[in-house]
Amino acid sequence: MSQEETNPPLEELVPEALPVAHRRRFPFVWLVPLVALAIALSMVWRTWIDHGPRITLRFASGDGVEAGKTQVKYRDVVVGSVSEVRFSDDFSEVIFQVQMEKGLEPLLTDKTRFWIVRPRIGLTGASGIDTLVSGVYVAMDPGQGGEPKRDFRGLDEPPNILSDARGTLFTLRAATLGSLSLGSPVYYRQVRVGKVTGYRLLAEQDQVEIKVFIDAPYDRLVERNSRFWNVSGVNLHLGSEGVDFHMESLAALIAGGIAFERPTSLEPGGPPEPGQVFTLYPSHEASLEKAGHLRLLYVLRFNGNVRGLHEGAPVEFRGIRVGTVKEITLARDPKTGAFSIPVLIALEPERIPLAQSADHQPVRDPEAMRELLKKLVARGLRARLRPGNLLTGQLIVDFDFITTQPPGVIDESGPYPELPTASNQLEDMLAGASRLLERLQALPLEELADHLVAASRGLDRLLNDSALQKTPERIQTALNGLESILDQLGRRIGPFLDQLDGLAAATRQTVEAVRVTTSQQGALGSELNRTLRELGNAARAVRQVADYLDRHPEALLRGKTR
Amino acid sequence: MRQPPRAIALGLTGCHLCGLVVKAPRGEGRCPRCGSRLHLRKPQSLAWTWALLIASMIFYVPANLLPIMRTTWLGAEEGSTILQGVAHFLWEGDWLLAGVIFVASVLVPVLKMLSLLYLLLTLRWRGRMASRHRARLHRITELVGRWSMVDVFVIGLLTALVQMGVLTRIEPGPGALAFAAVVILTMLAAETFDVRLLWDQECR
Repeated sequence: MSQEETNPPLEELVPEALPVAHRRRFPFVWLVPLVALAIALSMVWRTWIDHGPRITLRFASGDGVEAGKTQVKYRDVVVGSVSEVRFSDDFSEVIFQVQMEKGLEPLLTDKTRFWIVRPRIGLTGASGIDTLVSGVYVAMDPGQGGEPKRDFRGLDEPPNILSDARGTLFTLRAATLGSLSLGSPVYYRQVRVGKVTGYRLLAEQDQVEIKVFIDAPYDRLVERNSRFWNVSGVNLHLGSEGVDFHMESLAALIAGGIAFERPTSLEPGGPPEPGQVFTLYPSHEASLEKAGHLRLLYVLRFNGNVRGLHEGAPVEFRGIRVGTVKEITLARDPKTGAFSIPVLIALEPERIPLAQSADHQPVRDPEAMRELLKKLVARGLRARLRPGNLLTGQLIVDFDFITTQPPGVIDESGPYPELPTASNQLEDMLAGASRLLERLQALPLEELADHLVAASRGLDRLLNDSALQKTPERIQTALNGLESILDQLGRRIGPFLDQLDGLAAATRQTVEAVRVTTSQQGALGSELNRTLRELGNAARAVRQVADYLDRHPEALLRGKTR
Repeated sequence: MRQPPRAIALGLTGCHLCGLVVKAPRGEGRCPRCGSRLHLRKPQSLAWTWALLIASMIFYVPANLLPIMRTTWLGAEEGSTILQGVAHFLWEGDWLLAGVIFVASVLVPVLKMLSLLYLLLTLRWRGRMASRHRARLHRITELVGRWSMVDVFVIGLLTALVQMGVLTRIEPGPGALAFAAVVILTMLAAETFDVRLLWDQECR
């Protein structure tokens, strides 16, 4: 307690602090704002300054693009965003300022294309459906190579072929577009291998040019002689074989389509030439017939009778169809008053490679075809009417080189160039045939046969008479009778043989006439030949009999000695 | 009015850890009971506060300029800064939410930094406000400071909740990091500020 009373002063109770070595401390705390400054600067740098390139896009329409929201995508990956949308100075365009991501500089060249992706629903499929909810975006397709660029003109339509799509672009020409449209499929053996990427009307050639893109590796299937045809719609053919119904696919039915194949053909194959233009045939059948769209119109002027020639009749060159008769009219020369029959024909040179250039390529250029035709005419090419069918008497137009006449020229004064013609050979041939028939009719074959039969009957009776062997007088009389018969035979056989000679000559003539006519008469000619040969054989046999009897009259009694 | 005796005048100091009152005339030494270092005042309090405050002010710039949140809505990404978010809600007529975000994310950090700055400046150039009021200001600053983290919490929650793949996605932006740094640094700055310095100033 005394301790409590004698409380020492407060100061004494308080313990002394333990000594500690005095340290001068470096004010590390000032590093904190320095570090903060560094971090903040790096953040600002990364977000603001250390950006990728800024580019400008020009579009005809804004299409719902929003500044700060719309993105630029490449292969569906965001590569930038639209930071500003404004009008051009004359309000004719919308200009987007786009902030691209870092490292995309190599993709921004003058080959790069930009377009706005919108939802599209077509017959062959839908695209850009995701933009219905997320809003539109700008897609880009960088080209390969090219100069760096920062100011771009955007495409109004999405490009049909992306630059990284591998394949080949082919050019087709057709008379009509059919129901083809952009994106219409291209089939090979009913497998979709490509699509239509563009078409345009060639006003000068009055044709449609269609561009198709065949994806790799199927583009190698297109060869120099490949045939393309339109498979749009349904192909219904009512023929003597029944009903033929053909449809490529449901998509092709609606959206149209093109098919191609490598034909089994004598035409040279191999890879197509650069820039080769293929023909798009309206149907598979047309492609097989090679009835292309290329038509060269010419006029043929005939003076004779054209009965049997119809519109649509074939125009042939040595039996190979090269065209069609389009129109047959009657014309009268106002000066001379003479009638002539102009026939309009359409040559389809694609049906046959009439001409081949130096590298054995069929000429498909119309001008080159006309030039070539001019050369051929100068070498004697003429058109003439020829019976296509002997029974029905139908006529066709046939081209051939006629050497018996001087070469004609192409008259280009009329609306269509006029090709030289030659006279109809049908009359000549028919006349020859009728002469032959007349001569055949003139032969007294039946009479001759009757006489022969009577003679043999007389002989028969004579031989069967028993009195003959007993009485030489009878033999004598018989011999006398025989002599008279032989006299008769000799008298009759003389003119017969002369006639046979004439017949043989006429036959030879006819055979020659038949031979010069074309293959259509082959059957008739061979029939005639055979008949005439049989006739000749018969005549020879008769002559042999006569000769033998001349030398061996006893043969009538004893028979032929062997 | 006579001032009460002050420990600093008597050469006494209290141990930070165990609270033992120790005689340490120079304000240096070690506690004889627990051995921890003794300080009359928080060592280098002003320097720390200044440094942290400056750092937080530096971070405040990117916190407001950079997008704090990235919203991906069906493939379309959109970044928004704090002020853009406030403007967005204001535009939509959601005044309450706009107000909350504005107060928590803009007003509070700014006021906090300003009050700390004021306290630091008045220590150097004597201000008119009484030390009691300044002490209250400091208390409020310390109390309110942590609540501005609500922004960062909201972003953290949204990031965790809204991850629906392609449909929609929310990710924190670089601004969120800067903003979190601002909040943490101001809290530390308020913490390192030794309020007793206010009285020291008055007694001098």
